[in-house]
Amino acid sequence: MPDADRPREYIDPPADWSAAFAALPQAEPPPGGWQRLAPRLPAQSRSTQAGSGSRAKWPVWLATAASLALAAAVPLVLMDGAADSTPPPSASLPATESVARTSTVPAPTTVEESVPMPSPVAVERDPAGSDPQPQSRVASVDPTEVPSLDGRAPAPSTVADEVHLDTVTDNRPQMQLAVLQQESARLEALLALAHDERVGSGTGAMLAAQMQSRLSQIDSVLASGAINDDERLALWDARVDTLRDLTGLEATERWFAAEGRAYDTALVQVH
Amino acid sequence: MPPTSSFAIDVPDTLLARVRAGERGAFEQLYRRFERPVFNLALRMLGSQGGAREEAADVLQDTMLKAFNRIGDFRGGNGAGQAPFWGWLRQIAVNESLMRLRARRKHGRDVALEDDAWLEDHAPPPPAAADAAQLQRALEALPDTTRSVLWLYHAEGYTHDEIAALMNRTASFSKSQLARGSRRLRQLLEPAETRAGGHAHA
Repeated sequence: MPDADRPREYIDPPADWSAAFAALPQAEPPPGGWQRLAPRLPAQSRSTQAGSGSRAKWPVWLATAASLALAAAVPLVLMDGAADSTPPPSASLPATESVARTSTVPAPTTVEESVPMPSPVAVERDPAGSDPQPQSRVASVDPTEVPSLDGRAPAPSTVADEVHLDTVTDNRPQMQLAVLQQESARLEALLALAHDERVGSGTGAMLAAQMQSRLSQIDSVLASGAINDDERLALWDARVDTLRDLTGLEATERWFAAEGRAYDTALVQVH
Repeated sequence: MPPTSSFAIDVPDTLLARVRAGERGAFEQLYRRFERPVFNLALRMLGSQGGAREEAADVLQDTMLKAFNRIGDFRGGNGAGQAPFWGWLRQIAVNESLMRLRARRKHGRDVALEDDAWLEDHAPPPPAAADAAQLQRALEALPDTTRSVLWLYHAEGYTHDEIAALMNRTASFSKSQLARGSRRLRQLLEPAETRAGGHAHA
């Protein structure tokens, strides 16, 4: 029979050209598009005011400061990770290793402090946490009250946040999402500055590829739109975590390269 | 009548308001929503051979950059009678793509006679058009302008008048390009269909 011999896709011909075109598969844009675009956004607006000559000054300075801070922080994370016996600076703090490191690691405070919005992610996980004030009141909030937020309650104020908890509950997911998105944008900009093709190692490249792959997966789910608010929040949180890891990795590799050391060797030493 | 755009995304007004306020996190959300459709639109218009993929990526970047800088000009939204955001963004992407096509200096080779619009092709496409790989190859074989007109009309739902305005041509030019392109596309696909019995498909 003729139909049986025909390829499957010939069985149902498109009704018109529009249907035929609409059925064409969508191509995937090259990865890292936002990372390339993000640094151009503020640079463009500034260049209209101050000319292109001023463009290179603060990104280099920012990159240097952030790279140094991250490079110092990430090895500490790796070394502290195995024996996490360091007591938290305050009994009321959430028991996260990043908070404990905050007091010992010079932080890229200029990056974090320039953002007026509260950054619950930075409070909880940021290895280079910028807030000089211990978030002692955060821990006093019972995490069981907001289980869906997974303990990421923002700390709009270190004073009397329990009093305002009920009043801000409705806005919290949106606020958290906005904070995470800002953090994501910052990290992507930082990542673009920290990345240097000239330095790297096999292990580092493999780790970076895994993280990039994870980011792509997260982005594809985010772009699908078929997720609820809680899932979106969790995905953005995972995105920020992954970006932070990736930025730390890139900065550490640059730092090691600047010192003439091999990142692969450092990993072996740590573990 | 051509259908409406093959890609329609609603953008919450709250998100647009945040973008207008200059919130980069909100713009990142917009970017991630529209990255793929903008890139694909550019890819269809520019073709996917040679360095066209890189060109399409550049179109995506420039389109988003312009969108960010001109978001204040966008007065639409999701309300009744308001222009959708995708329509506005798509217009930027189409203009960026056409600008690159002009830069290729290939427009001159396929200038159509404006009086051959009467040869419009209303027949359904051949069955081989259902084969995405064949259809893509056939589209690649068309001149840039012809392919762009076909895509804008059939896939994006632009009218001949709108295409004419975009390309600084007349509506007759758009019609003739559409007729030529449809016929050429049919020619490219039909021989393949006759060979289909012994042809391996991806």
